[in-house]
Amino acid sequence: MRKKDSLLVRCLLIISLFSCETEIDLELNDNISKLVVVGEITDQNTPPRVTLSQTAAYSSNQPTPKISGAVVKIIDDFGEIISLPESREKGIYIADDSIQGKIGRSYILQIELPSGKIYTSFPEKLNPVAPIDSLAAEFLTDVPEEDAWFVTVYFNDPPVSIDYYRWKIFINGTFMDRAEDLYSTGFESVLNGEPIDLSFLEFPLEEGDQATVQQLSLTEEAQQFLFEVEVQTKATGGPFDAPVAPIIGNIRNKDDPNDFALGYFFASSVTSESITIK
Amino acid sequence: MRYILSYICLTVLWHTTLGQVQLNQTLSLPENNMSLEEVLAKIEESLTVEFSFVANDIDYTKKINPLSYATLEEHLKQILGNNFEFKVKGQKILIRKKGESSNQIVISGYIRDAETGEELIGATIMNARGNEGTVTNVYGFYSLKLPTGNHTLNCAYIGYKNLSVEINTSTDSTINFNLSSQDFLLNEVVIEADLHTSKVEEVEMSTNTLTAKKIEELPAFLGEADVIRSITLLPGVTTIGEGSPGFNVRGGDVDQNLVLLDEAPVYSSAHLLGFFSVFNADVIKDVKLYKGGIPSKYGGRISSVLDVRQKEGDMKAFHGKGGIGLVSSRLALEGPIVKDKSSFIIAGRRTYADILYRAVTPSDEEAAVYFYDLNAKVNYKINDKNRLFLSGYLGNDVAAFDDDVRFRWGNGTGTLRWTNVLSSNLFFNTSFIYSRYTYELGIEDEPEDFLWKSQISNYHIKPEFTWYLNENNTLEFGGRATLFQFKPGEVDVNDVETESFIIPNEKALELGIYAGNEQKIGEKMILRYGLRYSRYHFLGPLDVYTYASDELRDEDNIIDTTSYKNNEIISTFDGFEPRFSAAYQLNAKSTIKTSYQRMYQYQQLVSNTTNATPFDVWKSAGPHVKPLISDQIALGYVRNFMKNKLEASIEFYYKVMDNLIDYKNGANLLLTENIETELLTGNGRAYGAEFMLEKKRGKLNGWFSYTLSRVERQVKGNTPQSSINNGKYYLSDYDKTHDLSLVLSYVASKRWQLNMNFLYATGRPATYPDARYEFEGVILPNYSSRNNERLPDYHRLDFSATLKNRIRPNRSWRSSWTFSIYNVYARKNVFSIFFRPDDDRSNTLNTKAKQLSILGTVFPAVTYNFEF
Repeated sequence: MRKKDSLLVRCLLIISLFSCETEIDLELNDNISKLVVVGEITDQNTPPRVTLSQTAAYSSNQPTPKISGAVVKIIDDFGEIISLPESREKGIYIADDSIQGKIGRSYILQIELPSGKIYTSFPEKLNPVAPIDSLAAEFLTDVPEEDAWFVTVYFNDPPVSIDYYRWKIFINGTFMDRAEDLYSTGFESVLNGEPIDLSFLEFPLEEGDQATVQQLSLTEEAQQFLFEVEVQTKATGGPFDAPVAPIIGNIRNKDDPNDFALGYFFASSVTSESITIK
Repeated sequence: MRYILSYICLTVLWHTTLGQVQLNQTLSLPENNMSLEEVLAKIEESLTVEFSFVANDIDYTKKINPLSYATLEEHLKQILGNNFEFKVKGQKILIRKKGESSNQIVISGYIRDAETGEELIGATIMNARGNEGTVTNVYGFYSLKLPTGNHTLNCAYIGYKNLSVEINTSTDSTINFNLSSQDFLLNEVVIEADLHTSKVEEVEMSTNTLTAKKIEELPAFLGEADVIRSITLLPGVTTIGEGSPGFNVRGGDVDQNLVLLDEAPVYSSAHLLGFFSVFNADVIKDVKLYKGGIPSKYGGRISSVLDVRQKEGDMKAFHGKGGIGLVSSRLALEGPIVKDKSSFIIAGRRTYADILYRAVTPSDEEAAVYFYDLNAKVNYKINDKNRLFLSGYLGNDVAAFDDDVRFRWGNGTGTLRWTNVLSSNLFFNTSFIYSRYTYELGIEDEPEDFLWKSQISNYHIKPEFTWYLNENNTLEFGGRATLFQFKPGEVDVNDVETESFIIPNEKALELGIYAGNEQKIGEKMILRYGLRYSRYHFLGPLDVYTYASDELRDEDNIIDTTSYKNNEIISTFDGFEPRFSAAYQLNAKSTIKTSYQRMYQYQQLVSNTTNATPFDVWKSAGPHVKPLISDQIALGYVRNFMKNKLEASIEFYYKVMDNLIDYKNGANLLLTENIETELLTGNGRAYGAEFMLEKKRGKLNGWFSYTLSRVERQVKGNTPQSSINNGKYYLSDYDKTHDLSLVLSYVASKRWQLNMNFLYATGRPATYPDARYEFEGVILPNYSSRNNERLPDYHRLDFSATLKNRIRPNRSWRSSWTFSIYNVYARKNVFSIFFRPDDDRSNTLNTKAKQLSILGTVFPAVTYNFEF
């Protein structure tokens, strides 16, 4: 229910009658070091993939260092083990091309770092996803932003289960990876089992471009993680912001439950649909 | 350490000796024939003593022959002879007839404003010669025990002329006093009196009173007199920032203040999200804030009591008062319904923020943003002993944009009160109170067209007695029963295929009984001790979920559901709340005080945003939420200077709070069912020192306050998700190490009055990232520890000037212009600092720190006020 947020956005408008925002230089005490894991297993023929990196100083404006030489495995609830050797690209671990996840199974990610520390994820269930009925793209003129292309996805949310979704948007094959392009939600109570239309805003589209929308299933925890990421990147320091907090994913140090890795290990079923802008 | 202790002892001793008349001091008196009166005057002149006569049949004109040189004691024995005895009481010497215990009688009644008939709260009445004195209660009633005979009674109240009345009493009697207000501008010479009680003579500590007049004088944002902003200028009271609703007292959250309007609790004291307060200064009599030493009659919130009393309405003549300002217009009318028998006051206020909003928003969106308040009160004197009051308040905020989103929220209260003087020393008062807070959100947009309604309402019955037992003991006892109804959410979805749904309503019953006594022990010591017992029943109908572990309440963890029938008790909580205050008067000018209090609170506001929003819901204590409990001790010292014109006080306090609710990271609280799944439990502690120097009277008046304090919280669970900052204590959002205010008013001439505020406070805690990491190309900040840094310091200067227009003869119309400037030097005070990735698609590695200033510029305003 994205609409809920818009209520507070309207309230913020009242505050903004008087307020002003200024960019500032700030000395930060920002040199802690933590493991960052971003991994994904899907039911598509893109093999499971895990990126290991490390945190860096917030103000550095540099890419974060990747971690090489780890032993990475995915284990499912049938005891099958998928190993993910490090690829040619440093810090990126990819399983064999033939491997893909199966709907209904649960997966655990296990990482053994060169230092000997072992991190594991909680079991992540690969849920089915509803198919996309259709896509539409329209150019809206009464919106203040430029490039006001709206891509709208139409589908039917299954009535029995409470489902959680994520959408990834690709333009001419390029993944839209800005914080603003993160879209995820869950259809609880009111909208469970309803026909849904959902619009994604503001893409730099031109005639002839191809927009692809991937619709992914998530677990409730995974959606919560993405929601927190979304909230944190959209923070405006306003009076109605919740306090910022570490985003705790599903990966822990096996021997110390208080030592968690940043990032998340997702298991998703994927459907996708494309549209050409005319 | 030993030296410090002995130093303190010495200081105390020194003060004690200073305050007591020494009978062994010697003095010379002329031996020639003088009258008793002359001799006593001579002694008063040469020593700092004062004589009081309890006996009336003393012959002052009697000629006597005093000793030439002797101690005071010897002199007095010689002068008074065998028929009289004397007793030292502080700096006074009481003289009375030997062996005769004088008969005591009780006089009681009301002290009122002579012009309007309005009862005065906290007015003093003193026997000029004796030591008896008392203060009117919140209904303007007093009861005073005196020996029979002739007395001169002095009545005093700040802002009023002193009144001296000669009485001759032989039986219990009712005497009402009418005081005339003292208009500074009409009287060239400001009457100064030492009669006003000061904090030195009261047991009460950690309290502050503001009159409506003072609140109206303070420079305010956009010229809108604001009760809540005014009290944040007092020591120990802070606020998160500009535009933040409510206030924080000694480290308490905004929901921990019992805000009472004519005894009815007000749930949201803010308008327009917090820029203005719901109290219309035109109808307010005065405002009293209790931060500690809270009397046992108050219960239900753990941090403070803000007791706001509305005017009763002029019993004698019809009046009006109003104003036209930048933000709002207001009008109040009052007058007699039947002269000296019943009166009314009615007031309205309406803002036109819509116009402002439309001027600032760039789009041509249709918007209606406004709030209004209505206050009304009638009172009826059945007879001298019985009186009825009916008062009510209704206020709403409305915001509607285009035609698809609209909100509305507001309070309503109603109080019916019956006061009854059962006998000259027993005062009784019963109130029936209704209060509610409602909000509504509506969206008209396919297919999510819906209307969300939420409400908390409650009904109270509150009988209370004040029993003036004797001159040393005043006993208060009574109780309160409250029925609460929570309707956290009811959703109407305007769509055939979707069912509307209701978040289950909750019901609760709170009962409290109390007894408290204020006892004078000798001349120097006052104690106030009491006990409150409160009991809370959380009632059905409700389905209550049992979770596998309280540590991680989660919808997947529900292992059992228990259904409760209507009015079936689901949970019961109870507790004793001891209250204790003591004051010891070191001498006529200074007093040390101490207090302890325990308070219970059975409802909390669920809000994890920086500012509370109008849409936050109240959560009752129940199976998953325990009641809040706080304990506070305080120690204080008060001293008067310059004949009581200056009053200085310092207080130290330490407070602990248990069962505070906190929130899971990323908790989503808005419109959420099973809200307990988003909650954590923690505790808090607050301690500090408050200093205040106040000058209440004179052409130049005002106060300086300074608070040094610390507020911390702790949420310690077994997992990273159920802890905050690894279970260590962290600074609370409104912790401000140094907090300073200077408030000054200066009556420059008959027509001009100048006012200023200056505020300085340490910046509030903020969370800065301690690392960055990448998630699918997005740079994210990592915040390991909450509130690990501080925002820049806050400071601001406000100024206002009031020009009274000339009064035309034979016309009752009086008017004035108030010019105010908020934030005179346009400081961009920082509300928050936040961190974001660069918006630029081509430079995703860059991040930015930005600061938000809510009122980052100067705001001038002009208001026209009138009275007739």
